[in-house]
Amino acid sequence: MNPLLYFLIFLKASLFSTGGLGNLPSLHQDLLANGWATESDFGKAVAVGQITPGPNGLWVIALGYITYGWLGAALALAAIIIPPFIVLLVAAGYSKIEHHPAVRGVMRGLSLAVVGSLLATAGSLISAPGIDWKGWIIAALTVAVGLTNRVHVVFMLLAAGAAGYIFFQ
Amino acid sequence: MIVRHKWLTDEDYVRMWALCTLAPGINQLAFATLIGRKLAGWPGIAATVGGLLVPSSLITALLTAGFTAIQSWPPFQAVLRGVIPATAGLMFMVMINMGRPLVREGLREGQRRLILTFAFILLVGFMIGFLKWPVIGVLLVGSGLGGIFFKAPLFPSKQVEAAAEPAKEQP
Repeated sequence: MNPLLYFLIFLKASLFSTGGLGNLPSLHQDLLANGWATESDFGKAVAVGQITPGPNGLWVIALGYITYGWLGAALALAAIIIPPFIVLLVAAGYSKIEHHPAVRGVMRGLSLAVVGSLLATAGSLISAPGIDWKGWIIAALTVAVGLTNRVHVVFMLLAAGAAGYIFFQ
Repeated sequence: MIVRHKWLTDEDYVRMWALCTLAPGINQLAFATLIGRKLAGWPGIAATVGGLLVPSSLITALLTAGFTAIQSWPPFQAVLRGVIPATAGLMFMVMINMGRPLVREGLREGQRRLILTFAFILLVGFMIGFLKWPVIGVLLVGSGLGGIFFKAPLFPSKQVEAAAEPAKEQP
């Protein structure tokens, strides 16, 4: 693995993302293409990221650790610290552009594209080898329960883990 | 919490959060950056961003280390086979939650915008999922097209009609 390239892949993903999981599709594509991660590595990292406290974008640190040890975790952390500083530039320039009609359109197009990229990535994760119909049921139940907004994500993952233990042990 | 300590007014809070949604990366980090700067300049930024990140990233890394150490233990592998599909479900959930306000906005603006909204999402999904085009390139093209198609009124002919008939003025 080339540490610089590894870092740049993470930095690029975060620079062109919004929210905590917006960088996942780009990381998914690049790390798989280089053979530096597997589909299931993403599942593990997202699970750890959901369980731990703090912003949910920290799942990237877990991905760094799983794919490249402590160095990977440190590089991933560095890559997610830098992009939010761009808010200082946005804050300085925003008053000049906020009334331009294209700005809202660009933001909306970007958000829609992020939604589309998440759709593609989620589709890829769910069709990974090793996930059978039982896995699809677990995924479908997660979506159904999650959309009610009544159950905390940690409990959903615990339930999924318990189901896994029962189904696959 | 911030409002309680009178460090920020409600208006500051709303405005700052709006700016953060325009910045790349984790919104809470951008928010911490703005608050830190407002309170104490660069040392303030170091304090707020550090306070948000140091404990939580350490916990994340340690938990991952523990997780990696036991992941080959067979019972835990069975647990993982349940957890991993659930995270794929979470991804679908995040997608739906992000997409919902956009679809609602399209719905409010009429049929054409609604169709355009779904076309955008599906087309991007197809380009990345099936054609394997580079994600960043597709996102950039999506933003550019958004700037064109979602810029104020979409179809000029409608504007002309509206101008010709002031009684049917659009909101």
